[in-house]
Amino acid sequence: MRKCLAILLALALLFLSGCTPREDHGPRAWEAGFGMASLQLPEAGEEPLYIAGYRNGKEITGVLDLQQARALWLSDGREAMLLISVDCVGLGSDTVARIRSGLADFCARTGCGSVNIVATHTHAGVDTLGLWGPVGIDGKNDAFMDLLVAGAIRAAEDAYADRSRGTLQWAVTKTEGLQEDSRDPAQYDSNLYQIRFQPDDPAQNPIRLWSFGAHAEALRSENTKVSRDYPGVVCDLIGRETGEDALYVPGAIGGLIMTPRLKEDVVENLQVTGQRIANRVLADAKWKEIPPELAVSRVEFETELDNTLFLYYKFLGILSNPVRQDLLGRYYVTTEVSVARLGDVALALIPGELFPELAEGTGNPTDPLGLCQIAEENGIHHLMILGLANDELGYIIPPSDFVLDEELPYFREAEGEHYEETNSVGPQCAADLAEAFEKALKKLP
Amino acid sequence: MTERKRLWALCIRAAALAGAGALCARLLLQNLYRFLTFDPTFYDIFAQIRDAAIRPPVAALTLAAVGISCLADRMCGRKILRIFVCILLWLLLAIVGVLLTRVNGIRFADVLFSLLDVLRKGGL
Repeated sequence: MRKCLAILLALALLFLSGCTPREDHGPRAWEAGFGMASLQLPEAGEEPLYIAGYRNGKEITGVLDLQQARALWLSDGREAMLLISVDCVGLGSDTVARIRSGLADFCARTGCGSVNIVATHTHAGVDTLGLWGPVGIDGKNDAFMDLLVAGAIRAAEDAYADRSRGTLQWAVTKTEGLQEDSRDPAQYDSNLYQIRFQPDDPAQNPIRLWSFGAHAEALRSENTKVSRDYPGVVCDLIGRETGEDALYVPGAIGGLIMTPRLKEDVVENLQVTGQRIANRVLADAKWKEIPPELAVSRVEFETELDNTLFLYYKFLGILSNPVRQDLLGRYYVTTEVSVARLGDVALALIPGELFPELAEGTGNPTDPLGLCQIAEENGIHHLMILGLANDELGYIIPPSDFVLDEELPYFREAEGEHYEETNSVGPQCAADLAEAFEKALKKLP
Repeated sequence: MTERKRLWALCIRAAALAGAGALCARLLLQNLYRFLTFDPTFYDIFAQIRDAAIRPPVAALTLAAVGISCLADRMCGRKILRIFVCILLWLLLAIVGVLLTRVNGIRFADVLFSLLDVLRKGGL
């Protein structure tokens, strides 16, 4: 009897010791910080530096402005995330994994639950995907990739150190005449999306995250000098005009959506394009406050790797995503999609260049529902697309418009305008992405 | 020879055949570029896989090797003939092994046959 009582008492004590009163985090409040690191070019060595975006084997001949990594630390007092914007054409999942791994101790120390890396898609940067070396040869420069990873980590750590409390707002501004779509149907999202952090401490700089749906190609294919392209010009102008720290993330730029050519001289074109976009970014906007609630969810998913060229690049070790093969011989590549909910605004972090039709919805039964439609069905009325986030699968094309050359699929463009298919993983990606996006939405608390 | 000894001999023979097949596949693919000196482009391209993750199909090779060993075991006739047949079958095993070997997760056969098809159609 005594033994039973003693055991019961011990169990009761054990049970009660596990029942702590719910920790009071206090009221939620936004906290944000900004960090930036320039990505110096490595010393001239054995490995050349190739310029990414256009033709194979084109070496860099100079610098207009250095590529940068810009980071935003965001927290609501309970959850925290990092958004790192890197000036480059794209980052494969291996580089994203390296950056995340380098921030593992940082995340454990700070409670950061989500590290997200977005490429600005500048077509005037060092090749960071390996696709622009001589044909079949990895165009990445190992020394530069090490500098890029170190720069991204440094920017993230600086963003955390810079953090302060304040309010968060968002705005959507219409634009006109700043984009053109070279592929039919000519469709693009002409909205400029912005999230602005206003610190309580007037000594701290406000921070502006802005997103626009146009390829960073104002310098066009003639250019062989390193530059951030128009996102860099706009961020610098924002800094000069307002004292804000700015970072850019691309929107749904698949299609191929670019800024129009306004000047013959490409450097002049860059400056004029940047000024025009900055004018819209800095124009009066209807800012709406975002209540301090942050939640992030991430879903890994597979999609069929149908593109033979990408298969060769994977074989040669140039592309890095994990692949598997099924019993029928089809290959599948693993990637990820994330959703960050900030109050009643959500950011969709998409691992490639999404066609805007897939954000809005095409209405075609062969195509998946638009991401905005899926978001609406799940109670999210304001969705911001962040492309080239945490991976770069290439173009993500509506299946109804996915056409391949019959004789040499992926090696030769099909009749009409179907260049984007040659730089995509395959026709299944859009549907697999939509499904994974919905899962990510449902996973949000 | 007792049944047990025969079984051991069979296992050792199969393991040796499979191991040799896997090693052969790995060495061949790691050094494939050395056979392409006639074309500097292909030489440079395939030199990239010399340090790649190369995974021969060990399970398939082992199964095939067991089959060859059993066959050799059951063959009647002169020893020299049995050895010759084994060698031929092993060569076949090695070729299939190379084709089924994965480099960075992609089967060499998938790349080879696709590339040959593209070359035939003038795609490169």
